[in-house]
Amino acid sequence: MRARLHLIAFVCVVAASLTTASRAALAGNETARRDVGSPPPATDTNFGFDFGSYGRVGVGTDLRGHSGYSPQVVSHGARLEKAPYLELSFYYTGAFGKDTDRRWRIVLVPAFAGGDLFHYSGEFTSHFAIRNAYAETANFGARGLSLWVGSRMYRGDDLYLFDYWPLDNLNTVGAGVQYERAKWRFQLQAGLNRLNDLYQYEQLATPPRGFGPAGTATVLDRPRFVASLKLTRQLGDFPGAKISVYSEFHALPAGENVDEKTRVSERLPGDYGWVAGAQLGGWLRPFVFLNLWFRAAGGLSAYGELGVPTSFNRQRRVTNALELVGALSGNWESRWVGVMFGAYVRRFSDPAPGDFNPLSYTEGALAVRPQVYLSNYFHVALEASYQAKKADGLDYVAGRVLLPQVFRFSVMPLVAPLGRGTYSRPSLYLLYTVSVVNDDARVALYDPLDVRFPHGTVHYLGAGVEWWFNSSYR
Amino acid sequence: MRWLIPFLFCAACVNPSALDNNWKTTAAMPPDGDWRDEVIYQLLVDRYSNGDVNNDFRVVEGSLGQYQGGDWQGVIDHLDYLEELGVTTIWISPIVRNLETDANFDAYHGYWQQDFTQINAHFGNLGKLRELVQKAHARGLKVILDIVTNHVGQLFYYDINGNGSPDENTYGAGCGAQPPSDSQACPNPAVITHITEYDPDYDPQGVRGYTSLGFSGQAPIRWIYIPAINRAPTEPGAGAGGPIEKQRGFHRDDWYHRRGRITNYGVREQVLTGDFPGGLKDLATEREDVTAALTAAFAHWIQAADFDGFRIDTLKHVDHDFWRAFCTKLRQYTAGKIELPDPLAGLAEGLDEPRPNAVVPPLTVPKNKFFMFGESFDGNDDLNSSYTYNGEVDSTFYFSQKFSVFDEVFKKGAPTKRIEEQFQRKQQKYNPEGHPDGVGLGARDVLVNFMDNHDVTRFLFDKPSLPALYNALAFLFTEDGIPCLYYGTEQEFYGGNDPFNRERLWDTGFRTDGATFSYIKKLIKIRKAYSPLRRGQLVITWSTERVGTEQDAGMFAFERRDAGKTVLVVLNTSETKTSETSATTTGGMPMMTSFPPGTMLKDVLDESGVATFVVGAGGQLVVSVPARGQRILVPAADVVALD
Repeated sequence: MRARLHLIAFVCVVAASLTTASRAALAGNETARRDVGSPPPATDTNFGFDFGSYGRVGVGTDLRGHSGYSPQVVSHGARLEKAPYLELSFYYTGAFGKDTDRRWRIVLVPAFAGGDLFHYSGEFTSHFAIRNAYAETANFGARGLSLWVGSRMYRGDDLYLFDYWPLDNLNTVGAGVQYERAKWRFQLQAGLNRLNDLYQYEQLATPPRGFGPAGTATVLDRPRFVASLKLTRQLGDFPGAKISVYSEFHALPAGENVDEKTRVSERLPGDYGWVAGAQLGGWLRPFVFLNLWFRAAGGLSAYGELGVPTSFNRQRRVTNALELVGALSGNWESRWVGVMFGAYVRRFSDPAPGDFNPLSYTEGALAVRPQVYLSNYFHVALEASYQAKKADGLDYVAGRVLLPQVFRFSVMPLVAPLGRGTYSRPSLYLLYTVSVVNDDARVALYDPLDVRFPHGTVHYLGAGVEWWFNSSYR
Repeated sequence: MRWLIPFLFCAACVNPSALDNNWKTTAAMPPDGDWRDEVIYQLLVDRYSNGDVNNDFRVVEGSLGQYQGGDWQGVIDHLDYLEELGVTTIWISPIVRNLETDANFDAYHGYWQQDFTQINAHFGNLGKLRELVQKAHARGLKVILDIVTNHVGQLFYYDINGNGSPDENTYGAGCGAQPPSDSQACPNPAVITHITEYDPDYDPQGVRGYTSLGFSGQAPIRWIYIPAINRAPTEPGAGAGGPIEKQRGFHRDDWYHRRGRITNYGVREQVLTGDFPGGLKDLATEREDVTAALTAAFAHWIQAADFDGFRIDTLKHVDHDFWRAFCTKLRQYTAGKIELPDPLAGLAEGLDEPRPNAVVPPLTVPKNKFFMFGESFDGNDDLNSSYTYNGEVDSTFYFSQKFSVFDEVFKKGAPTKRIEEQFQRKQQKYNPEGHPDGVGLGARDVLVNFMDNHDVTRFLFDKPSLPALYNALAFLFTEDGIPCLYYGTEQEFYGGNDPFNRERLWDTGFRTDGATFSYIKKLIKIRKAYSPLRRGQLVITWSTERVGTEQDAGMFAFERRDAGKTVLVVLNTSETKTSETSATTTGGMPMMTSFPPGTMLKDVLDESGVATFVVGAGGQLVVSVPARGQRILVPAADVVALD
């Protein structure tokens, strides 16, 4: 593990020396042409090695002698105090023969998440995952045609203030094709996953053959098939607009769980899911835009491709689970002020039988972050947000319907070495946030023994940094 | 910013439901209602029907000592089954959170409570419970809740040896008689003493510390913290394990008797203060604060879920003063006459001190005749009846009848004179007067009659004979008091002792075309159709010591008289012989009834419809009944069509 980290650090240094600065300066144009959640196109990275990264690191206190924390009652809440997260994006790009128009590229993005920084916890461990490990071609076969195979994040545009992709956000191992021509873009993807959960995978110990260790039998192995289709039409450049329609299909075959103790098997019926959604985006100039999304997801898809359903209907399926999302996100810039804003409403209907199900809920959040550019490199951002969630049924502990709510206000003086802009990164900042949580939020979030339970007003004072360049973010 | 809420949640703008924050309780029983009209059906929720697979955690299919998955949704799904059978009241097993498992047995039955304020999630959530009660009420079914005030689950142990861990210790060498004592081979011939700190034997001084060096004062209790299986201090409370001055509510050491497990049920002090077998820790109910806390805890559930009565567990294990206070307060509360203090309010939400001046939320509508009946698992009528006076329970289970009549007579063939003797004891012992704000009737009139339940073998286990079962059922549904049917009887379940008498009802497919289901359904219809069978005075017209081949061997007959109407029930408990209600062959007389001579009586149980009997001179009536048969005789002029 230590050797791996050293190697990565070495490669980072080498890659950084090869990378041109100011990728962010190009981000404006790219925002128009590509979905923000995907790596920059193969045509935009240098031949040979290239490097990018996204990272955020922060630390804070609640001014009460405890670690700083951010009470969140919704699925996608305000992001300022999020746990550290780091992606290292390595690219290696080549050409088909001497034709530099036709490219191939390897994209490898290890990521570290979970907030367990060695310098904070003292433990030399990290949660590590591969976020991207795929190969792609550009303009091979036809101009505008891209192919990819591997494991990747496959996403559209985000609602930045909540770190949320309201329409399309897949983590997939599979293959895909993209074709762009005359302001149209067609994207098709298909992949499989098999979560390490009894819902999809089970192994049982079996008696040894003769003497020796116990054997294993795989009694359940049912990968989920996920496919998506997205069609985008761009209208103009600056100003411009785009409209996308999006759909997914999920399918899970039937299988059986076997009880480890009794060896009694339980049938798991096959299941499926669907997504239908659309996005309307418009922009006046770089970083002045508005996106609107609508998404409807049913069945398996309502949980996302990495989600394991926690409750079922009488047929032990989730076909009647439903998610509805409406969201908007926007940004406006001037010489002295920039404003980010975003909001969403999300409805989740649990498939379990009966009305007044506490697992069914409606939630929403809205946030606005004006940023004043006191000078080219020194800015002050303010952020105000509100979030709430209402379940359909009685809370198990409280015995009543809860309406947890959180109001937040943040002040964030920051240094942005790349100049003005709400999306200018890196950004080194101090942060003070005050959150007002109502009683229902405290009951919903914390056990009465928790040190956080008694406080209706939560402070956060800390510092942090966020950067991105040449990455899946910008 | 509450104005934002409608904007944000217009997608969920359904009207606030009756099951959530606008929940209302109801009266259910009308003011002139009579609990003698009810037929109680006892069901164990975990064994009735699995309506929601999402609460099936820890279910081990077919292992009856563990959760099977039944839930309130399952009861809701099959209320029509109960309606078809004809029962009018359901008694459901306890609803509060239990510890999950102990000694490899699960708390599917609900009697191992850990938290008086929270729902047992195995069965559903509060909304589902309310939905069950609401839908039962909509079908005219009342709902009785099973409650336990005597004990909590195996939540702490006695640290007898003071080492801070729960041990099972063995002291002594025990090599007494065999092999023969030998000073070298057996230097210490003391007997083996086995002490389990989970469930030590009763000690009238309280469980004491002990090591091989001897006793050492009261053994401290230590709470067991395994949150994953709900093993944690009883809630509501605060300060468990800390200094006594910081302990609150059910976390107080002195809220428990701490005397160890009952070893001699003949000693009242043990029965009242000892832990229930299985390490179920006995509450110090003689304390006023414990009484107040338990009263508030269970009153809360009446308000929260609109129950119509309580079935009270382990009645004889709790002192009279407690029942007097508990029952009186609950009657007044349900009648809407008092505010009930909630002395532990807020502790469940994490407060260190209870919220002052808190009260249990009042009922929306006062209850009419909230019914409280208790389980005193004893054949002693003096003991059982003692709980029916002085404002204590409205009624008890008629255990003495279960033993002396259903077991001795209907199963084992004892003379029917035992039935009359039992009846006389009832008349003498049980309270004839109702309590203020009670059910309006004395316990003597509303004893809850039963043949079997979850704590004893099923009738058919001891006596695998459907005729015998039908014989007993006929008595159960025609005698005075309130009949209580244990689930599965109608499906001819024959399980032995716990847990094998707690079978899964849904395995039967809820069939309603079986002979026994149809028979019970008919008995209930007959009972409903004829008020004397529900409310009538019971007058025994025939009983006998004879059980052999005599003319009246096994015969038992009684009239039920109400509002000028009379119904005559005649039973033959003989296994083999057709008998009749006469002893003329042995120098005796025929049965004398209250019917006028010439009255034609029709057997409304008889399927053919032709069994009739005519009353003779002076009211004499000889009724012949086949072996293990029964007749319900109604004057022809009073016969009504059954619904």
